[in-house]
Amino acid sequence: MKITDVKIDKFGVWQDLNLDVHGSGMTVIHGPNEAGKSTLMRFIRGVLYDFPHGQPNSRTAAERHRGWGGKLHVRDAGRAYELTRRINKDGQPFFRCQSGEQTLTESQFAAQLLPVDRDVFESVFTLGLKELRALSTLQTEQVSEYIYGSSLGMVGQRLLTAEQRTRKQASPFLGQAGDNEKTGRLFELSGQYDSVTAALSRSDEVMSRYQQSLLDCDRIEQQQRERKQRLAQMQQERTSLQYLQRVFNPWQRQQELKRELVRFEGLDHFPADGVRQLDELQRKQQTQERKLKLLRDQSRQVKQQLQQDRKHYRLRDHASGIRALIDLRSLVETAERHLAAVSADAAMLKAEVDEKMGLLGANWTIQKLDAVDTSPEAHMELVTAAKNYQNSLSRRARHRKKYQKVSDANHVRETKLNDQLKKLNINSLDLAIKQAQQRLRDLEQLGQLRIQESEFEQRIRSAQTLLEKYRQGSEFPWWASLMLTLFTLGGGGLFVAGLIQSVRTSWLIGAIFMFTGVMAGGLVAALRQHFETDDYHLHSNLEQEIHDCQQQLNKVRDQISRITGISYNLHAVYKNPASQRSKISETDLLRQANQKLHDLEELSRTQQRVLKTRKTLSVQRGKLPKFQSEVSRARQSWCELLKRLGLKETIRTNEAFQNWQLAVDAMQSVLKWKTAREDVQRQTELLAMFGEQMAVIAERMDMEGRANLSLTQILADWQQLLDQYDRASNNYSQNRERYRDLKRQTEIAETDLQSTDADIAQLLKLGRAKTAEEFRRNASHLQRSGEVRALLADISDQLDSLSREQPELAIVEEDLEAFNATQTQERMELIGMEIEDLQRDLANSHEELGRLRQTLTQLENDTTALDLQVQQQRIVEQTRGELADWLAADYAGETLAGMTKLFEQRFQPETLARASHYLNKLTCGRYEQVRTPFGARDLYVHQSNGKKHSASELSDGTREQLFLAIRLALVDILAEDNIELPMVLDDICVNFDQQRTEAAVETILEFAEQRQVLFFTCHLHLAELFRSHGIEPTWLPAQNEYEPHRLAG
Amino acid sequence: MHGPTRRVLIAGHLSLDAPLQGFAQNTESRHKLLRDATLAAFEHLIEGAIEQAVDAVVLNGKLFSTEPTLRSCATFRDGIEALIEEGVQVLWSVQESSELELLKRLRCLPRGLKILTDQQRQQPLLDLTGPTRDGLFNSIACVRLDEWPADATPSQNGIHSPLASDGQSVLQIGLTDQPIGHWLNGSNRIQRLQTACPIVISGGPHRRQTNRHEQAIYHSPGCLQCLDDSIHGSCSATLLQIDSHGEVDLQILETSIVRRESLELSLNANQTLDVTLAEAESVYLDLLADLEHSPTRLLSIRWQVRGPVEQIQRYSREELTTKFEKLFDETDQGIPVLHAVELVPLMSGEVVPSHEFSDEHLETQFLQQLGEGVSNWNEPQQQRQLVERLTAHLNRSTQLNLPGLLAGLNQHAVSHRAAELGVRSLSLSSKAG
Repeated sequence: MKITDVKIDKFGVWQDLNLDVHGSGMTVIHGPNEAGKSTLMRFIRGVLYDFPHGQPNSRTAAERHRGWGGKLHVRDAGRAYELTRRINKDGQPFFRCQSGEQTLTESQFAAQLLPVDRDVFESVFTLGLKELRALSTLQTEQVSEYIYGSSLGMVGQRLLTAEQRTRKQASPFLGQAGDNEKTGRLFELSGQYDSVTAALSRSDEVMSRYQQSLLDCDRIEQQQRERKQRLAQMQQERTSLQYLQRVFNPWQRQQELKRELVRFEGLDHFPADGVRQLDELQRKQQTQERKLKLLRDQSRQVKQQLQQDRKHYRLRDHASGIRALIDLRSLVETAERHLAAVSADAAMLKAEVDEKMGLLGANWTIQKLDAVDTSPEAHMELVTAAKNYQNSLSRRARHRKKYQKVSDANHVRETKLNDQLKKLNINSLDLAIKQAQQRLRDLEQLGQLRIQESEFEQRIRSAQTLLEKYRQGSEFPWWASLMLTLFTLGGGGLFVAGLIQSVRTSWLIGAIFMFTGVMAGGLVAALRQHFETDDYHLHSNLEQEIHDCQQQLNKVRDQISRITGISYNLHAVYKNPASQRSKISETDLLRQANQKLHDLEELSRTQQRVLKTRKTLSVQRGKLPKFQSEVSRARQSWCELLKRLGLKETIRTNEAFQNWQLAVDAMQSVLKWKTAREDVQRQTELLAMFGEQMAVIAERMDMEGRANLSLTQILADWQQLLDQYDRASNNYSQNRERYRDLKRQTEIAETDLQSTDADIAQLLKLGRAKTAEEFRRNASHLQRSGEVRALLADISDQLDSLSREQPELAIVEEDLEAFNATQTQERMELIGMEIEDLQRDLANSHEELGRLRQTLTQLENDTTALDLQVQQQRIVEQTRGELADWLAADYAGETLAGMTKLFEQRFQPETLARASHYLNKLTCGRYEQVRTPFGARDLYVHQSNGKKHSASELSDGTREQLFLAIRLALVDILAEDNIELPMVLDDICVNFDQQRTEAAVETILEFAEQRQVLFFTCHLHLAELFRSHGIEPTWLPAQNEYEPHRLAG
Repeated sequence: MHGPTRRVLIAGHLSLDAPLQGFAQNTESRHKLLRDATLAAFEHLIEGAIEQAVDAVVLNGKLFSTEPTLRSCATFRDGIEALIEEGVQVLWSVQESSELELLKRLRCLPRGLKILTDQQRQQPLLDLTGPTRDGLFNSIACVRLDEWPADATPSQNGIHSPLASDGQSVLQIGLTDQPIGHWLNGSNRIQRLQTACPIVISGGPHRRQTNRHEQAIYHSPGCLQCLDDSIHGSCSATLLQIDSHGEVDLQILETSIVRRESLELSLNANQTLDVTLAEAESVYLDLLADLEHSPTRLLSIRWQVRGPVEQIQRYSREELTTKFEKLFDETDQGIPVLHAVELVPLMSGEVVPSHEFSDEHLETQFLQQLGEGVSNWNEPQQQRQLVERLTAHLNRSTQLNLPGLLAGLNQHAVSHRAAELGVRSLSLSSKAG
């Protein structure tokens, strides 16, 4: 949309203003301050987007009540619009948009301007210095969308979100940025670590405490050693004194008894219990004498009995031999039973052998049977040979069967093929296939020919229709011909009248009449000539085309007739409805030809197969003798093997194996029979040997008349005799043993009696007595001496015991003789007190040492420091883990940031790319690029040397150039979306230096080559600058020239 | 093996009472276990030595990796004395003389402990009973190989140089603080020292390692309990079985209470979460089979889940960790299991130009950019800037060693995490868009 004209009825300072604007390109309007430039800009904005309340700056109520408004003439998409907006005296708004006869409502017009609404128009298209400098005007949603985010895309969004997410994962470690109060895991963990470290440093005193305790232990142990030494000395002395006390009394008694004992000397060898011994010996002497007498009587009686029992001696010499034979009785019984059993078995086996030999055949003997080889190797050989023979037979049979089967099948196939060929009357199958293929190609071409036929028919019909039409419409309508005739006649009349007039009145009028008449005639002639010539050419062309098409059509139809074999009747084609059926029959023909070709090809394949099978059969036939010779060889080797193995020759393998099995069975039976026969012989010989031995013994014992008894029965008789002998022998042995025993007892009794007599004599001698009475008297003296000695012994034992109790103490006689009981008691009491003191001290030091050792043990088992170390280690591990996670998240974030940066560089929004171009021009190449980081609404400019500055870091002038560049870019972008609106710039270059002002003018002029720009300025040099570039400014007069009280708008 | 066999248990670094690294979460409940892990490993060594009826125990490593504690000194004393009471010879090759001084000062030097120092370089260890013949050893001794005086002879300082050992009757076990690599390519003198010692035990590295070179065995038993996640799998002591011919058999005695494992999962395109978890379970069960007879009481698994970008961006580390914690919270033997997941997005190999931004290749482009940036992160200037940034944020001094922490970070893990976060953010942004 471009403004072509501005008409202000009343608006601000302007009244009845009619301002021409260039319909495209640059319009520069110069006016001094308060000339109404800004008012003009607000008017344009107001007409397009309604006047805001309070507009314009009406200074008085009267002015406000007069109303305001005006018109804009604009052109959009080739259409002109007149926009009228007015506020009437009552404050009622009025709007009209007129385009020719079409009128748009306000909402319809507003819709045409979208998406540029009032805000966008104000912030982008109509700029004063104030709007230009304000960054906030570029931060509205709609504008920001164009500048910052329009080309972020899915990839950019993913990168941005991923980076934010990764950074968020890293944040718990360091806490949120900008927190005054420090947070985060690092802060917590370092605090914990420092606390644990401080606690650990406090626990270092354990080692010094341990060492101090060790020193204390040493000291106390030394004290203990000294005290124990003193205690031992005291205890030693006290023990010595106590010992002396205990020894003194027994020693005194011992001395008295020793003196009494001296009186009983001489009876030293008197037996200790002499009187009792003497009594006992005398009683013993009497008993032994009685016993001796009794034994002698018994011996006599037993000796007489032995003399009577000597009758059994007859069997004694042969008892051992008979017993040995009887011991073999069970073996003999077994041998006799076994002999009977094996004899029966041998007889049965012989019958079995005879039966099996009969099964083998008439000529078979045991010798022949022995010649048969029945070893496993022979069996394996037989099986292998049988298998080979069977295999060769099977192979031959299979081959014959296969050959017969293939031959039969091929014969059937060949017969069928010949029948079919005969039925189809085909001599050469290849030729028939070629013909069928040619036929099929022709039928396929038939479809094309039909289409060509239809095409030519259609062309002929079209040409004929056209020809008919031209024939009907080539002549003028009757009224046109009448008019032309009248015109011709009128022209002639006028010509004549002109001649007459030129003669009669004026030549000029006459000439006019003549000229008009000539023109009318000429016109009629020209029209006829023109139309009639065209019709002629058209006619001839159409007729020529119909002729050509007809010739082509005939050629096509000839071809169709040749293919279908039906002569073509033109009339039938057009008029006979059977043409459709003809097409159907053509399809059938095509299908039939296809089918025929397919059948012929199938027959050809069958023929090939028959030939191939014949060749195969020929080869197979050649192989038959080979199989036959294999069978012969196998049969020969089979028969030879049977002969070699000693079997009956037969070509039936089953029979051979049956023979083999019978031979094996017979051989086994023969083997068993032979074994049984040998067993019978062995048993018989054994029993005969035994019988001979028994006969020898019987002869020696004079036992006859037993030849009719078996060996077992004889042995039973002998057993009875032997039992009788054993019983008699036992009785004799018992009596003889008893006699020997009695003799031995008698001898012992005599010896004992003699011994007792000697003992009594010896006892009397020891007691220094000749009689028993004297002996008893000496015994009473001796008893007293014993009592004294016992007392002395007791005292000696007591003294020995005392000395053993204290082996380290040695007491001499002088000590005992000099012993004073009172003085000793006093000394002992003193020693006791000192010992008590020492023991108390020792107990105390023991307790202290125990405490110290407990302390040492506690310190050794103390894990406080270790617990702290483990805790410290855990914190370190947690820190390490979280540090690693943080670092990983940071690295990931950095990498994503790097990618984002790269992506930013590559995929900056289009707006900023264009803005970079304008900024480069506006800043004379100092700043090359305008960028915005993803996810932020910040602007950065990049210098050619790579330095980067944010918008806030720029100088005012450069900032304004940046914002201008962005707006120019925005207008470009919007224009590409077919949203084209005029741009109104109100003195925006006031902060630019001379160089950049010139650059700005050039840039705006370049921009205005494509867009409409209204540039308002109050600076003459700017207007002159535009003028120097060929743009003639519109000069506005100063308003104060006719309205001195107006203030700036 | 020939002749009478002697069993010698070799232990490397004990690192008593050193706190275990790498357990930041859920450790309150397992505080004691983590605190006492190194001591428990040491106690397991003592119990193992008694159970295996070893003849000698050789300690060739540092007792402490951090500031020693009284408890660790006392435990060391009690444990070694218990061994000596059982009739086991115990020899300690002192790497840090300060450790020896400390034990003496605290009266925690076990009675009967044989010590090898730079002054006392050789100690007899065991007698091999049986007839002494040519080619047979009749005793075993330990020798410190480090910093052996160049002119050392048997007559000097009472040192019996291994170079001058009396024939072949003594089998010398060489002990060194140096890593094995130092000995494999050493000078002639080093090689001569090695020749005298057919077995060289290195107390240098924390990782178990065995090499054979020119008839000699070089073995590093490693540490009893790994302190950080630089070692995966079991930590152990080594049981040497030596016969009179000097033939040696090495066996492992696992001691680590806390075990760390690293498992890998590969995600295929279009693989569902259920399939992923099933694969994880399979790998996890394979691991558990190894744990059947181990003394492990806590298992820490680091899952490295690799896959194409489109798969990785479907999961987050936290989600997968929670899943694994729910599924595999403890083993059949009741051993608690901790899980940490590292997601590694793999690039398709297609190079996307950095200036081309297409929606479908944005993740690949991100990984490319990340990969290009990774090389710069370790530069000192970058590290300095990070420290300054963190310090400036804290706005107060702290004893937390931030430069050390930053320098100690596993850059691979950080870059994988960065890749995961970036890719996932891009994915979520795409879904939000």
